[in-house]
Amino acid sequence: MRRIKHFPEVMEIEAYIYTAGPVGTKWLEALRAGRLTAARCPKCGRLFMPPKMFCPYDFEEVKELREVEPVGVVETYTVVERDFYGEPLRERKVLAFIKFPGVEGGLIHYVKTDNPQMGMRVRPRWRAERRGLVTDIEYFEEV
Amino acid sequence: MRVGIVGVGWFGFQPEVVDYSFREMMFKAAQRAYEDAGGLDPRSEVDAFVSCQEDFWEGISIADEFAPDPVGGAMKSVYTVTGDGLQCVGQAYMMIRSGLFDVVVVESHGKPSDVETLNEVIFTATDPISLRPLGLENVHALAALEARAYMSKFGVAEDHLEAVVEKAHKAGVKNQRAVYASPGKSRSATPVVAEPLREADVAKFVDAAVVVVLASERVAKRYNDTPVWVDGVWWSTEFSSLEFHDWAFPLHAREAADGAYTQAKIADPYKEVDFAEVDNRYSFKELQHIEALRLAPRGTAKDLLADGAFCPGGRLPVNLSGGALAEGVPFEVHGLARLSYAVGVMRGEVKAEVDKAETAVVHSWRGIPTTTSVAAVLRI
Repeated sequence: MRRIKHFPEVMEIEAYIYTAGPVGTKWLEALRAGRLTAARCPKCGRLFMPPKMFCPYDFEEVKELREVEPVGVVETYTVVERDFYGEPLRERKVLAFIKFPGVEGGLIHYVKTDNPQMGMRVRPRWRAERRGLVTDIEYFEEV
Repeated sequence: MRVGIVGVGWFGFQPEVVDYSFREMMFKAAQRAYEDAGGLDPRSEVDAFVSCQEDFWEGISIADEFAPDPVGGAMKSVYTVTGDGLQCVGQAYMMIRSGLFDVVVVESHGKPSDVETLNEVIFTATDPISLRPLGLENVHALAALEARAYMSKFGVAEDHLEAVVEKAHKAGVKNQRAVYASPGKSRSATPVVAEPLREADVAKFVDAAVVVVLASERVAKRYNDTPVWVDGVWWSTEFSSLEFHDWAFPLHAREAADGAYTQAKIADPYKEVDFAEVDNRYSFKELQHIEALRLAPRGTAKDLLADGAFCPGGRLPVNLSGGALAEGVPFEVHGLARLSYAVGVMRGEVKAEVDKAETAVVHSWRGIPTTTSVAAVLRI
């Protein structure tokens, strides 16, 4: 007979709403419109992405987003072959950190390519139906 | 007023502690720590308790409420910190240095084997707006991004990672609690998880609890003839979104180390530190952290490692325990695992190949997706 040793439970975390905030909401609305934007700090003048309503560098309040040329550069990447539990993925996935010239930060996103390289120039492949999420960019592809 | 470690106890360090809950693991580790501190009575001789834990690891919201009684702290002064156990040592250090507390107990526990969806729970720590919608099937991929950035910038090759893995398993086999140590393990024979990381580059998880008793210089000798002094402890976090952190170098570890060295009046760590226990939950992290802790100039840890400088018996042994690659990662206990091993070496209880064990630096990083490190300088 199986000993009673533990109590199985499912954590109730499946439904949760994360508030994007005033600047984050504008950023997501721009994504829905198929545009990439970055926040501009009025004090240091830096553009940064993903945006918040405060500058991470000097704590200044941020109100403005500026459109960014949607061509980024792969700063680093990995080809993911297995899931966390060691099982091979059905399809290898290229995950990259992508920087945009003149912008602090960047985006962590998938790149569709058979030959990933550091320094490779990429642009977003927008989904036809967009919902205001970072996944409105289906993936990045080589320019 | 110096702050001394007068008692250490640990329990678990097994892939799955089946018969004990996390509370009982805390209790067992505490029993051992109090015995080590000369039979200290937690109900009458401890001024405060500090517990390091994280709600989602426990599957309990407001897990703080579960902290007091398993360590003998019910209805006493108990503080909880959502961070690595070494951050609790930082709290205890400040409390004792303030002069308001003489004896403070630090505790941390982790039971990863209870978490059935660990990838998802770890992924829940990432930015919900900019990253979570991507739904990563393997959070280690975030470490792989750092690995490639570091390796590319400083000319680190996969052979260098092989050397770290080999050293960890060889050293770990002499560490009684290093359950994953497997001498002769071949990195190249393990599958690629997320390039450039292979399975052998990634530490496994382990269930463990560690309790440490700290005391002011005024009362330390009541509990232990040979206290190990905490002469510096500092921690640092970069940004709340990974996108802003330095992908190629752990600035958080550099900041933490510099803070601790300043407190301990260490000017040249490479010359003044006898041995180090650092985070190596990914093989490349050991090289990064050696450099961040100023035990080698940036980009040179790989070469010094190849020369044997950081090996057991070398000029400055790093991870004589084998580190997390050999012991596993017990969530927030990791820093106390590094500290308790170093204390064992300094007291001479652990037979380790080190010429001198009078000054040690211990370090912990909270793992991806965090940019938090803690460093402490210990002297005996």
